[in-house]
Amino acid sequence: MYELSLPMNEFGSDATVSKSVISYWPQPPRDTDNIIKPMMDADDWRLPRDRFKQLALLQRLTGSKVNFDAQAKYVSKDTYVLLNAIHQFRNRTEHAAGQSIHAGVAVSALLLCIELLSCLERELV
Amino acid sequence: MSEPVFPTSGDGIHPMLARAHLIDKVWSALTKATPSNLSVIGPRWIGKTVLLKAIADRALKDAESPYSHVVHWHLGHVCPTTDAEFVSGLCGQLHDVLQNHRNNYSDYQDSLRKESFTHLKLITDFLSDDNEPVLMLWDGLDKPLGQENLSVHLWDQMRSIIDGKKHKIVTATRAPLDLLIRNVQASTSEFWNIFDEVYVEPFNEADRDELTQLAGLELTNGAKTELTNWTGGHPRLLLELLNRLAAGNYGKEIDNIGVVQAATGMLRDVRSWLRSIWIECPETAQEAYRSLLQNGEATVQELGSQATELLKARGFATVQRNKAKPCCTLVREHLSNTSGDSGSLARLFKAPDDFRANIGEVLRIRLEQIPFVDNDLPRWVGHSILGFPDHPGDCLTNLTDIRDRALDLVMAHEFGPNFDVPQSLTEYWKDRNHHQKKVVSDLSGQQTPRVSNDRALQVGLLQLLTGFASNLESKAKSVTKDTYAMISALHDLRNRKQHADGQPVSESVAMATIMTCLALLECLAKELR
Repeated sequence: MYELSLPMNEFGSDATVSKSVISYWPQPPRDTDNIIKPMMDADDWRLPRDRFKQLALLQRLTGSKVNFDAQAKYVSKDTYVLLNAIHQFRNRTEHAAGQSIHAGVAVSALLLCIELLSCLERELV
Repeated sequence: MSEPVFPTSGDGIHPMLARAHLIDKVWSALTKATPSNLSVIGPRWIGKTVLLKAIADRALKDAESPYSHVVHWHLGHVCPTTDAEFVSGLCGQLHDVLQNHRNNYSDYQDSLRKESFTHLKLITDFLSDDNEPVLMLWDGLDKPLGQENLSVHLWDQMRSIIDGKKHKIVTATRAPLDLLIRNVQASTSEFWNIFDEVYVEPFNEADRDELTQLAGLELTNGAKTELTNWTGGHPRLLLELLNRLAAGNYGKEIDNIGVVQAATGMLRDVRSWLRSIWIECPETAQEAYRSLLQNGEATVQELGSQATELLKARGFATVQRNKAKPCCTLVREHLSNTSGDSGSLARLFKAPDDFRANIGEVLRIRLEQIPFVDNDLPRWVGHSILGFPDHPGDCLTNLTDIRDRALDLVMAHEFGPNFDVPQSLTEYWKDRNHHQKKVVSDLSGQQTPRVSNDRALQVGLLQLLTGFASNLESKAKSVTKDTYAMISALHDLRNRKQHADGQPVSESVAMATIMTCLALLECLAKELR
């Protein structure tokens, strides 16, 4: 759900960073940020396909990083922190190496997903 | 629908109703020949903030008031977490008060804008010398006192502001100050010795009768008794019940049956209040109340004097001749309706409001099921649960402490009391192509590799140790990837509160955070045994 909705709502149908954000992000001290600088250097403001980079953009867009004020039209810091936490859980299954997941951890992961849906429903619908 | 007679919900501070004896007592303590500093104590929603507002109004409007300025500071709203933030906050409050005064204090305001203790002391001393005493009302001091970082130095400084001056401080907290101070060293400050305690209690019979009259109601003696039985004199419940009686068609003189009907009718509508009133009650007192309900009465000795006082403070019990009896039928009914025996999961959780009202209790039960590996962790998580759902931001308050303690426990368990990291581990991670990680380069640069004090590096170390990265096996003795995932998630969630920028934390994040904390405690209980 979030894969489709977030880009459409925040970045428009062409999945590109908006002009107002492009004028804000490259200002010091944000111009040296490890995510923003490569986009500035390449003058390429399209939404990256890499999920990690998308998450990093969302962090900056929602003002969840130092020196970045929120520029998002709809999405809150809450959505970012929940998505980020879910991203961590995704790695948990990818690097399981035979360790089964505690039931409490699984419940916690499920709840994060449910509460993310609740946030998205509030912010994007 | 007509306006209720008494305000019971909504924003803003409600006006003081009844309790003339209480405000007179406080005012005389603040205006006697040698005025006292006061610590106002009472459980949530009992009327502390209303009392402080009434004091502020009186101090400003009473022609005989000895106070020239009133600083009414709500510390719970934006809680200072460091000494500097506290001083800065107090400077800001005094600055605003002087700005709004009819006299020109622009020089004083300029100094206060420096936000240092030196300037604060200078200005308060000037005001004292000019015979312009300041009455400082610190509402919700519970939250700052729960912060580890507010030091003994700060409280000594606060004492120096009022020592030998006419300025006075009135604090409002849910428990006596000495029980709330988290920083052990801070509790030794002489500042805490200056306060006389004033307890805000439920409405008594005289208050009840005055309020009944204010509402324009005529009640039989039986109806008055039922009013007290059903509400225990708890302000929010009593005022709401009076509103219902005033709005309903219960006849000219309302009898006990009318009161019971109105109280039964409001039970469902006020369940979120009842839940909050109940969960705020300390666990020992809850057990005492359940025991009272079961046995009908008990001696104070049987219940314990502390538990009895906690019940009386909330209107949950009355005591006569050393015998305690249960009170507040609304709470009793609420408990019987929400107990597992009397309802299905669907009834308790199906509607969003029901879910919000009941999930806190579930989280608390879950917390009680997890064996303790540390005394503070369950206490901190318990505090977080108390914030749900009314104060979601509070659910994230203790995250740094929880993360830090969990890391300390894990690191001591895995690396021993000296936190020595075996050289072979560093070599293994370098071999597996993780040499660029900051934690690996940090360890490689040390002759005797030790766990860094930097928490972010500790989280990174745990990631490698548990094999939570590509191409790595777990090298941990017993700590798992789950523990790493939970600590790492909390490490990131902390930022949500620290960089809020005006976006309040939602219930969703609060709930997810509490569940993550519970999962972490569960992991630690299993893995650190």
